[in-house]
Amino acid sequence: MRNDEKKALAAQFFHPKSITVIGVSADENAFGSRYLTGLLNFGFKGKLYPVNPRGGSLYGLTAYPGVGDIPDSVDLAVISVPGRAVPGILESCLTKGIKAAIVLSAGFSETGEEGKKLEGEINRIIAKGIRVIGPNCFGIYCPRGGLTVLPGKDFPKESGPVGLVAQSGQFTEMIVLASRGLGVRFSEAISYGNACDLNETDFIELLADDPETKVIACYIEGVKDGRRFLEVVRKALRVKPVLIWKAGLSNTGRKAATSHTGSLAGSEAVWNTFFTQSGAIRVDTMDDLIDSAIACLHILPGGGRRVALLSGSGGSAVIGADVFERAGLDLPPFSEEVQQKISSYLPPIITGIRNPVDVGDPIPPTEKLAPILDAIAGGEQTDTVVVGRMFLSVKGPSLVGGFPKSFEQGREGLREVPVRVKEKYGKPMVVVLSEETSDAGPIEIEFEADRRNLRDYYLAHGIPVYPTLNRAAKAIMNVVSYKERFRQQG
Amino acid sequence: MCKTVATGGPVMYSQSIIEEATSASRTLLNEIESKVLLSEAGIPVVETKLATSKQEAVAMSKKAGFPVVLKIVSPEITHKSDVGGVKLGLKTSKQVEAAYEEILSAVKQKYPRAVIDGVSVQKMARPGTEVIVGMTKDLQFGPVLMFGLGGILVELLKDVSFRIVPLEREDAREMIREIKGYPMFEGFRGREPVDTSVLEEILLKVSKFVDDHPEIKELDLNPIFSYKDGAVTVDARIILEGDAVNQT
Repeated sequence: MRNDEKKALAAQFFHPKSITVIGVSADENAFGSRYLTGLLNFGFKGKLYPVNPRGGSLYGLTAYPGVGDIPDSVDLAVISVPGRAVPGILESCLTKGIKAAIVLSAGFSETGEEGKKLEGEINRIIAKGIRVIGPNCFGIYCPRGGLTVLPGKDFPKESGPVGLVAQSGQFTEMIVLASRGLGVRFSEAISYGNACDLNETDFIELLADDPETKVIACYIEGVKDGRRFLEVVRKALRVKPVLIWKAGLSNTGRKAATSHTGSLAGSEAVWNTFFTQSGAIRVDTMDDLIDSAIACLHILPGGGRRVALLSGSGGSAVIGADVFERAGLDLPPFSEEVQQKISSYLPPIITGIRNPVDVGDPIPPTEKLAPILDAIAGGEQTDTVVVGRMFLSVKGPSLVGGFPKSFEQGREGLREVPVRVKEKYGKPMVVVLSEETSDAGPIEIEFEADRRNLRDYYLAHGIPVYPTLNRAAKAIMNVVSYKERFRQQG
Repeated sequence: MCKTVATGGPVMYSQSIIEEATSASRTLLNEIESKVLLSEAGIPVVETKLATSKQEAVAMSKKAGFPVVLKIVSPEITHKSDVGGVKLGLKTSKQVEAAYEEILSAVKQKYPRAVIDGVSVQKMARPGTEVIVGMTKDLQFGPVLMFGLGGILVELLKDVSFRIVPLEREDAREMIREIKGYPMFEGFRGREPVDTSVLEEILLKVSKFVDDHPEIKELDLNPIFSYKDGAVTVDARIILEGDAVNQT
């Protein structure tokens, strides 16, 4: 895409000054009505023009019988009418001089031959000079532009560094909401549906240029032009990480082949190749996507392959070493000097001081943890610090009948240690907070509240929190692989 | 090792080969046609000629230098050795004559109605490490190149790597190193090592070749014999898009 083209698309779709919503009615549950009220609730600052054949007043706004009746110019049309009526509406938008439209309506190529024909009609109108997102999508969430998707009236109003491109509207909603609790905010989230005009590749191209977007995350089922997709992703990766969750790796699209090459290259093999060739970060689940997005934000600056692991339990230290090495990360032993410092704070029976370090106590005294973590993070061979099995003790309160007050106070100081050490050395810190709970009901709630508070505290201080060592290892490795390939200079 | 290809008939050029095949509704190019196309694209192939008689086969063998290889050339036969259509290591004119007859009778027995263009004659290439380079088309990504160890191992072990066209040099380098059999190229257990930069060059040329010819649907260079000082394509097969046939 040309630069002026990209700028125009971003202005029309992400920052429109006026929007017409076509298909608004007195029925509050109609998609068109929900979209309009969603925008009102979300606080869209521009002008809104609902369109309804009967005109009148809807949701406190003047409704117009047709797009042509709107007195002013309009930047963006959002269409929510039955599929068969879409081509006619789109024509009227074109006549009105509207250059951008989002078609929420379903009933197109996703339904079969009839729908495919209908989508063909849309494409003929597009060729006359209007750009379309959809059909069969939820639209765009862009807090800076005051825009939100169909079910997004309660989405966070703050903008953030993650740009999301998702074929599925449901996933757009789920990913934004699941990220909300983890402190992840979005610059844009685009649900693009059938992609009859603008597609995943176009949006990646736009987000690569968007200075607000630091990480691009994608949920993709299929691409229209794989070659251009590879080219655009490769280019985007030079400036920011691109995470791709590719769903639907089946062989149904595979043609009968008469050569060896044909029989060996299934669509899964080709997608694997795409990931190898591009260097895009591959994620396989929603958790994976969000974990890695968080890692990109907090571990990419300063982080690296050499991990220092500190654990409150011996078992967890051993498991952690396995998990991290299997993921491809290194756990180099600390220097003699660092080991001596560590051992001076630990009883002689503790053997884990080389890396990982086993503190032998999930809730150690602050005056013990602070110098140990300081020594580890300060070590030359440490790029990324991981703290596991610490700060939370599942059975602690029940065994001792609740923590004594002095202990609770001590724990507050303890919890600040990773934040202080991270800020001192500027090296990324990761905390693993297990979600495991005991079978004693009342404690679970208490424990879970405590865990969430602690998680939010660390996330707010730029420390990624993962529920398992495995997820921590995978997220760190994803970022390290990206960094080593694209940011050799650190 | 790089040699130009001559044929029994008039000189052929890539466009005319493809046009001729499409006008005859043929999607499979034979070994000789395939090698001419590849050679024009700068890819090293063993010089191969088409003999339509025993006498021609002997004369061509003498010119190429013994030992030679004879193979059936027929648009209907893809797995040549399965039907007795390949004779290797022929050292004398007598052996060539006998091989010529044996090939024709074996093929006629198995495929009595097959169209036979003749028999290809080529000097037997010095043994080297066998690799395969191929191309197939993916519905979403278009042409994709494959690289692997050649011979029967490619089918058995599936130790292959892929890259989406167009390849950059780094892609070619990486896809060679990606296969498990890569140590074979480094002189594994006293074997002759392989100059992988020549293989990189072949991959890049094949990438450009398939990019320049969208009418090609699939392609196999199998095997390529690779050596410490070069590589040469011993057999090749090109399959054209059915659409290209229908258009003419």
